[in-house]
Amino acid sequence: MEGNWPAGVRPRPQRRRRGGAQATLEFAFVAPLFLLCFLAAVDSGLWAVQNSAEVSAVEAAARDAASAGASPLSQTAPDARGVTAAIVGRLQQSLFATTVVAWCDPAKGMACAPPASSATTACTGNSCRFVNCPVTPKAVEDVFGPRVVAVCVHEVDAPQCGTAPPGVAAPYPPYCGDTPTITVRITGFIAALVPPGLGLGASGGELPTDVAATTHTLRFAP
Amino acid sequence: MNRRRSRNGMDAQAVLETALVIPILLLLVCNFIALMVQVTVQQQMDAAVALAAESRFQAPNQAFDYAGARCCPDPRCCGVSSNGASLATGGIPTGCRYAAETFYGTMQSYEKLLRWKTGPLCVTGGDSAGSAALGGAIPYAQSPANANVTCDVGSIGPDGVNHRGFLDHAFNPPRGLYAVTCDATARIDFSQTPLAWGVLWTPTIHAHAEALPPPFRQ
Repeated sequence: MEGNWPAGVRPRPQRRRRGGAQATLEFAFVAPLFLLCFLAAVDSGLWAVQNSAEVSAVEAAARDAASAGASPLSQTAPDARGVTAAIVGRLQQSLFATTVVAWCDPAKGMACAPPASSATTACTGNSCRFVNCPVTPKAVEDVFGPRVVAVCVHEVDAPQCGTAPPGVAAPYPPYCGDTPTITVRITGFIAALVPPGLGLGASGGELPTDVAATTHTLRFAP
Repeated sequence: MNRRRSRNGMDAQAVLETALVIPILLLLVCNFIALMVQVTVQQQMDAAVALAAESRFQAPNQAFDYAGARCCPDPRCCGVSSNGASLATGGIPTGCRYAAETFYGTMQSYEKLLRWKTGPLCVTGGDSAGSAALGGAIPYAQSPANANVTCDVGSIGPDGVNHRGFLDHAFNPPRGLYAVTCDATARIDFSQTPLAWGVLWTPTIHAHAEALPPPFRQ
C-alpha cells in the first residue's frame, strides 16, 4: 500500500499532526505559567528595590522631621513639602515610573496643611483631609491618581501639664511633658508589572506600599 | 503496536516532565519572593532599632516613668489605643519608653508576618568585652519582660544611683564609651501567607543598633 504513493506526496501520518497539536497545547499551558513565574520573580525583585529605597527614605525623613523646622527654636516639624523635597531625589531614582508627592492639597496656591497636634482645633474645608496621614494607599490614589506615593508628616504633641485634681497622681494629664512624636509615612501605589485583575492593586500595573517611621523629637523652649 | 506504545510512552514522559518542572519552577519563584520579603523586613527592622536607640536621647537622663505609664501601642500615636497587651513602663527610664514607642511605631508594617523573640524592654550595664548575652546587661527591676525590643539605657535613678549604659570598647579604645544599644529578634513566619506551600524555612532575623549621646549631653 505504501509503495503506491509517489515520492513527495505521501500524506503525513495522523499521529504527527496529533503530536504537533499536543505540543501546541503543552506550550499554551506552560507559557503563561512560565511567564507568570518570570514576571513574579522580576516584580518581587523590583518591589524589594523600591521598598528598600522607601525604608531608607522614610528613616532619613524621620530624622529630618525630628530635627525641628527652620530654626533651633521652631516648635513644629517641617511640613510634608519640606520633608518630601529633602528625600524626593533619592526616592525618585528607585521608584521607577512612580510619582512622589507631598501629602498636601494639590490645588494651586494652597498651602500645605500644618502638622496636626493635640492642640489643633477642629478643621473644616477640603484641606482637612491632609491634616492626618492617609490611612490606606487607596486614599492616595483617590486624590493623586494611580502609581503615586505620598509623603506624609504627622506630629503629635503631648498635652500641657496642669495641676492634678485631688487624689490624682502627677503628672497630670498623663504623658504631659513628653516630647512630641513625629511619624513620616510613605504610602500609595508603586509601579509594578502586575497584570490587572490579580487584585493586588486598585488598577493593573501597581502594588500597594505603606512604610512608616515614628520617632521622638526634642523641642527647645524659646 | 510497538510504535503506539512508544508514542504513548513519549506522551507520558512529556506529562511527567511538565509535572516535575512546574512545581520546581513555582518553588523557586516562591523562595525568591520570600527572600525579597526577608531582605525588606530586615531593612525595616534595622531602621526601627536605629531610630529607637537615637530617640532615647530625647528624654532627660534622670527622667523615670511614673507608676501606671504604658506604651506600645503608644496611646498618642498610630491611632491605636493602649491595651492589655501593651507594656507597663512605670519605674523605668522614660528614654526606654521613647525607644519602645519609636520601635513599635516604625515596625507596624509586618506585624502579621513576624513572631517576635520577646525579652526585657530596658536593661542596664553590659560590656562589649563580655561574652554573656547583651554583654552581661541586666534588666531594670521594673522593666516589662515581654517586649519585642530590648534597649540598654543608662540613667540616673530617683535615688541618685547611676545606672550605666552599654560600654563599647570599639569607641575611644581601650576605655570605651557608654552607648545606647537596641536589639530585636524575630522569625519570619510564612505559614499565614500564600507562600506557605513552597517556603519551608522560617528565617530568624536580628537587628542591632548603637547610638552615642549627642555632644551636648556628654
